[in-house]
Amino acid sequence: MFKKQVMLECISALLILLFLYASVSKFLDFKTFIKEMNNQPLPNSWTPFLVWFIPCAEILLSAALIFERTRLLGFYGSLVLMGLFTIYSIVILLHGFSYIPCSCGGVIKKLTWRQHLVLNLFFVTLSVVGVIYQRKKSFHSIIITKNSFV
Amino acid sequence: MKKFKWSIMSLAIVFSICAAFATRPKFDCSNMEQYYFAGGVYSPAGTEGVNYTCAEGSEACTYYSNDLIHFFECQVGTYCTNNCFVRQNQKPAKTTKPAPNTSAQAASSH
Repeated sequence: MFKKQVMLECISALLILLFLYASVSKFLDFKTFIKEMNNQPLPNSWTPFLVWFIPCAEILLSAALIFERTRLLGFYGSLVLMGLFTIYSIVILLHGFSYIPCSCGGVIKKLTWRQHLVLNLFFVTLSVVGVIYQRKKSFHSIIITKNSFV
Repeated sequence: MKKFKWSIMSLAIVFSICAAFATRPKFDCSNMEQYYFAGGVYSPAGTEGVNYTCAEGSEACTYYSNDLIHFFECQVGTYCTNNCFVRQNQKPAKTTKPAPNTSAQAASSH
């Protein structure tokens, strides 16, 4: 139980590290982020929504991962967000769009799309493990609470 | 356990914010007027994402200049307006990005 708890804390910390770094980098160089978003093979009309939604979602997920009550929600959110990024990377690598855009975002900018995919898969795996362990933990604590009332 | 939790969380938060500040680009050439090089001439590239995009590639996509005499590499990639495909012998696909303003005046020759 102790080992699993340590693992949950480490997974949360790694996800927070990724999301917080990515969101703060975007806000620090917001003009470039808008350009990079326009450079993606998505409709430019989505840009005003995406440039705010992505970093804000990353900050909210980081906050959710800190607290015990919202952690499961945070893991689910991370899984959805990282899953979407992974699907996007796969579509790009399979030449699903008419061109391959730049892979942008802070130091992560230096990664190729293949490296991006590996990184995303790693964080998707972490999110899945987080969801499983956190669910087990929540289930366990519910049983303990019920038993204490009996 | 609580001590461990809060120390690891604080470390993650502080480290991520510091890393973001540390890796922030000091000079961003992409905020300057961008030019592309074609036929020995540097021409204004227009607005990124509207007139052109930098697709994946290792060559110089756009250049910037302070004096219109000396041009320096800015963005890396393949300068792409439309019908810019990543595969050979591919049928033209519909592109959502508009074509660039082809009447852009040549800025300067190198």
